[in-house]
Formats: sequence, structure tokens, C-alpha cells
Amino acid sequence: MNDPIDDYFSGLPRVKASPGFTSRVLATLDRQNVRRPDLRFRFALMAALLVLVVCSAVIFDHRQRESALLAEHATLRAEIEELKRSSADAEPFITVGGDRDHEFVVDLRQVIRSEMESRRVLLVSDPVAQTSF
Amino acid sequence: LESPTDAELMSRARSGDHDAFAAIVERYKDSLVNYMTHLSGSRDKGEDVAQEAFIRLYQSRASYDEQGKLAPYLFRIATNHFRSELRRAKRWKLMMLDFSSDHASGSPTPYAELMQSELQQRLSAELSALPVHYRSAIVLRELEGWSYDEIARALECSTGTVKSRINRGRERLRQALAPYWNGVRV
Repeated sequence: MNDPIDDYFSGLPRVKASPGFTSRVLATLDRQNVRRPDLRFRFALMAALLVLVVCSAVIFDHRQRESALLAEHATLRAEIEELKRSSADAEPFITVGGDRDHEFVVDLRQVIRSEMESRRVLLVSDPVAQTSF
Repeated sequence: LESPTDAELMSRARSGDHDAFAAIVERYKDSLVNYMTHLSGSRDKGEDVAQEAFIRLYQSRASYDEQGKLAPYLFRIATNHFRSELRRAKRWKLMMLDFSSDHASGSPTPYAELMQSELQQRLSAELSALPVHYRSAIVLRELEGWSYDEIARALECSTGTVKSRINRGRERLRQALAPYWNGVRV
């Protein structure tokens, strides 16, 4: 049986594109092509910019670390020099006490000397010690 | 002389041949405008969406790979664009709190000037009232004469879904047009 709805559909008008449709489409494309560069070129440009920014950040960070290390190195070197200078100037005495008028001092050079002498005596008198050295 | 196939024209358009793309527009403009006019219920809207679909087809020409099945691809672009336009219009309408309720973009107005009879106008109005997924399948089948397979490809669904949508859509139209039924023919 014929469905009347089919007749309704066949009665609907067929619409055509208006004159100049194609030229309007092409004109729009031309305008967009002039305004917008190729998408691939855009992506490439953006990727290159991204790489540039990342590299700059890495280099900047590296330089900052380097200069901080150099500064620390210079400080340490200065401290070592200072330490060397002060140790050369220092006398080998230890103050062990005293009062307002007197000061008891141990001369470390004397202590070392007597220590070495006592070892020498021990070495000569003790054959076991002699063999073990 | 045989006219070039869609695939050949698209291949030439890919390498920057504007004439090849113009030939594609010439080949499909009438059927696409007809489809979009019946889908949107407005001739102006139909032309706008069809134009935008051709522009998008050109922009995506590098990624086009349908082995010569250009029409479903083009109509899919147009249908998707129309759907997103509808969604945008609905959002806008909600924002405006029905202030612009008689604006054409939200609820398509029948293109009454083209209709010969009251029945045609009635059918067009009822068609516009159907959900877009029913409407698009019916228009492609009944007005453009496409196969179920082509419609399925254009609407990105199975042929079974297409058949079901067409049947349900037709049933709704049948019910809506029942008062006019009594043997009246266009």
C-alpha cells in the first residue's frame, strides 16, 4: 500500500544554492588564506618558540648555578687563605690557668720534644718494642 | 570526456588547485543547500551552514581519506556544524531567558515562501519539530534519495540505527499530520 507520507515528501520543493554561492565560498577561502598562514607553519613556529623558551630557561638556570658555585668557591678559598695565615702566625702555647698576675702556659714544642725523647729511650731499652718497630 | 572523480578533485585541491575545489563546490552545492535548508527550516541558514561546511572541507583537505566517498564526509561536516550551531543557539537562548524567543536560529522558521500548499508548509513545520537525528536521516533518505549505508556514513552510526530513526521519524510525522490525512495529496 502506498504511504501518503511519501507523496508529501515528493511534494516538498527542492532548494538550490543561490547564484554566486561558489564564488562566495572561494572568496571566503581566499580571505582566510591571506589572513591565516598555513596551519603546519603555525605549529612549527610555535614548537620552535617553545624550544627556544625552554632552552633559554635551562641556560639561564645553568648560568645562575655556575655563578653561585664560583662565588662560593671564592669565599671558601678566601677562608682557607685566612686560616693558613692565622695558623702561621699562631704560637704553640696553651694557657691552662693563672690569676691576675701570673699565667700558666704549656709550651707545646717542649711537650713534643720530651715525648719524642721518651719514645727513643723506650726503643733502646725494650727489645720487643725494638723488633716491633 | 569523463569528469574527474571526487578523489581526483580532492587530490588536486590538496595541492592547492582552487579550480578543483570550485568543481567540488559546484558538484555538491545544490544537494547540500537543499539538505541543510530542510534540516534547518530556513533557506538562509541552510546556505550559511553549507558554505561553512565547504570551508571546513577545504581546511581539512589534507586529512581527508575516504576513498572517493566525499558526499557522506561533506554532509557529516555540515550536520555536525549544524548541531553545534543548534547547541550554541540553545545556550544563548537560555542565557537570554527567552528574550529572543522568536529569533530564527533557535527554532527554525519554515521557509513559507517556497511552499505551494498548506500541506507542504505543515509537513515542513512538523519536520522542523523533529529531533535533529531523526530529521537528518529522513531528509537524506526521502529528499536526497541516499542509501542507508551512505546515510550511516554521513551520520556516523550503523545502518540499523538509520533505519530505526527513519521509521520513528516517519511515525511521528504520520501522527502529526493525521488531521490532514483524509486522502489529501500534495
